[in-house]
Amino acid sequence: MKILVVDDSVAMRLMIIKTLRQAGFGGNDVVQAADGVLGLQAANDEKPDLILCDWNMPNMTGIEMLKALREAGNDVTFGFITTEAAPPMRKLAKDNGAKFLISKPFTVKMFEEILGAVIG
Amino acid sequence: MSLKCAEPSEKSIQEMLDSLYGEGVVLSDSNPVDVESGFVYNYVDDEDNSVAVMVADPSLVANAGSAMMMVPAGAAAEAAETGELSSMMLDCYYEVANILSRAIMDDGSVHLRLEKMYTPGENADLIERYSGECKQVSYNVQVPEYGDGNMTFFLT
Repeated sequence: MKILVVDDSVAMRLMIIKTLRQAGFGGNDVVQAADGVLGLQAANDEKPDLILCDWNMPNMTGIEMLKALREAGNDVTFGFITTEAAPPMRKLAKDNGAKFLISKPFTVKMFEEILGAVIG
Repeated sequence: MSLKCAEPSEKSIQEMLDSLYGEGVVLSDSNPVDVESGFVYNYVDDEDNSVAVMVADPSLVANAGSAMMMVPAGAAAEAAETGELSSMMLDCYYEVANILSRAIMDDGSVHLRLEKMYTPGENADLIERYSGECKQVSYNVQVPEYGDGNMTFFLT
């Protein structure tokens, strides 16, 4: 499985990749992008099976990226990893086709439980 | 005057920092960090108006930022002493500030997001805005296996 991690913070991308490893998902290929524009490009070029995406990013936000993917007919499994944990944002994410939303700060257990159902 | 954002409680800050660093973060009250001398993290509403800032002293940014990526404690102590912080320390502490945005939001507050970090003295408008009278909440944070530092929330 190929996983695309989209976050404008290098530190957060590294933390997500480290947590993926700790949660037992280290055997997957991981590619990275630093904002929604680059994430969209990477989604087209790299054809990931799963996208883990921040919400608030410069140039293009995560929800804008998700909408653009769906408008282009791309139904890749998409989940947010974000501080946007309020119910209206969760609803907005779900309504636009996100499979899950992991709130920051996250734990290894959250990755195991939520991603376990997706990655298997 | 009622606040547009939530007042960050010691419990909420403690829980978020524990999630980041594991248990062992020690939080206590502290003197305020001067808005002119600290790193300023600006939280804005959906119309991009500043509603709150968190000001962190260089020692907190160095220690808490370093601990996120396990930068050696010696490097963190040196950075705290000299004020010369690496981009990794700044980037990591930015994420701490981003996550702490949740501590100043609740069901009754406006929706906020972290807009940007400003280096000490960089944003004169924000310094002027928050130098006046406004609600302040300050904490000293002792990072496990690293040093400590102070943060102050300026809330409107």
